[in-house]
Amino acid sequence: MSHHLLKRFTPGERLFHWVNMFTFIFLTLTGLGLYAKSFFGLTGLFGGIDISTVIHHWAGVLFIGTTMVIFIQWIKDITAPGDDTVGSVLKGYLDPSFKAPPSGKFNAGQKVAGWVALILGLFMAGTGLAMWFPFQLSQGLQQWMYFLHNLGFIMFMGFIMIHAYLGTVGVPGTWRAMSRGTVTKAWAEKHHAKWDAEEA
Amino acid sequence: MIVIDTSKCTACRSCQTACKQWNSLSAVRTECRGSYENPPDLSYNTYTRVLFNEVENGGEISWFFGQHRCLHCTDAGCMKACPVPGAIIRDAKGAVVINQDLCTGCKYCVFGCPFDVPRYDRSNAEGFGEDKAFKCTLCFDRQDMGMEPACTKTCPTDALYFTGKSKLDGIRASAKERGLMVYDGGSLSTNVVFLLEDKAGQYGLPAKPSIPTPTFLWRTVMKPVGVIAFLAGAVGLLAHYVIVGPKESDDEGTAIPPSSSPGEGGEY
Repeated sequence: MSHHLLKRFTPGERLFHWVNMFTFIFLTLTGLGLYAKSFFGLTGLFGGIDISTVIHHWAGVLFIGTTMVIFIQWIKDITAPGDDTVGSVLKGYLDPSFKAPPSGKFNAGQKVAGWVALILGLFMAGTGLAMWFPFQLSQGLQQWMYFLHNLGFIMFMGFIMIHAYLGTVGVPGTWRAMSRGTVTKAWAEKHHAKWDAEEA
Repeated sequence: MIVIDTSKCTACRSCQTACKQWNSLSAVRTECRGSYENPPDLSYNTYTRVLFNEVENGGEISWFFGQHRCLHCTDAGCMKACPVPGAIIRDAKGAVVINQDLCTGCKYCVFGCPFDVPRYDRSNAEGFGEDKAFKCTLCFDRQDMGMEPACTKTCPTDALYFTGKSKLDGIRASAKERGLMVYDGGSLSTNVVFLLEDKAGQYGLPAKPSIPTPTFLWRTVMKPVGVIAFLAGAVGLLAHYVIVGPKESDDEGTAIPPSSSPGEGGEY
């Protein structure tokens, strides 16, 4: 029975995550053109600055919308108590011989990631809204919004790089959860033993 | 370089008028707001205006005539903030000029200016198209033809005059003799220099102008920080993959092999 497949995410959960992923890619590509003068050429990817600005604004709306929907979909598992800690999960990634306490549906790192995605998403949406509709804040505050939007992007990009790595080559078999909604029994036993036991 | 000697300004506002005339900027209907100051703010069609500051001091009235306009910084906040290559340029004579053909209307320059100068206009202003930023050009076009800027040319009292930046030391010396303070934007090294009789604030000028801190962090610091962080992240993840290796389960996460019998698979 080692090739038994477990259902991890519903089509609804995956749909929102796919939209979320694509809007993040579009936001990055359209936003990088305004990140620095030397990146301005990237605005040509979408036919110029005017179009890429419109795409950036509305992709941002879709992004924060889907981020919040995903968070609500998963809020029960994100807030569920667990035996593992961020430290134990991290040690598990850095030291292959280390046996971390068994994780539930989400391990401690994933729970933190859920919160980080929500908080950084709201942070980007808030500062982005100020950039979309300027002249609502004082000049001094508005200047900070530009800087904070950039700072937030750097943090978000770092977060997404780790997320994308662990969701694909870093933990083989995980991408299935996103692409097909299922994971193998062996995968569940290894990475989410408690969840595997509950599902069985 | 334009020198504005506030001690000689009579607030006749001929500089405002000459500026509009040369740049073909439309007039706006003025309105009495309890001050001679008009129009109330810079705009897409007002590049310079005389400020009237009435101050009561021990029963006496002092009237300070300042000027709200682009100071053409050598280290310009608007240029730092602008994301479009070539949309704001500095010419050889020190004029900082917005090229409305390239301007995308992002308004970053409006918020990056320490002197609150560039003005954004959504409408089809003066035939330049929608969504552009506007400000004084130091009459770079007149200078290219060997003429001085319209405002200095017209000033009847020589409160405004045009001179070379090399004359600044001489101007400083004579200003000192006359008890005037030279305001040159400090580290920004502006190409419009004021000679002031009182504190800069009385003329609507910031006492210690500088590139706004968030603009500096955003435009000068964040670019290398972001690029380094991105590369460090990529190298770090690659190093994890190569040195520690991925965290694999027994079946390496692969799905049902094609050879397995149908009954053996899961519900999916």
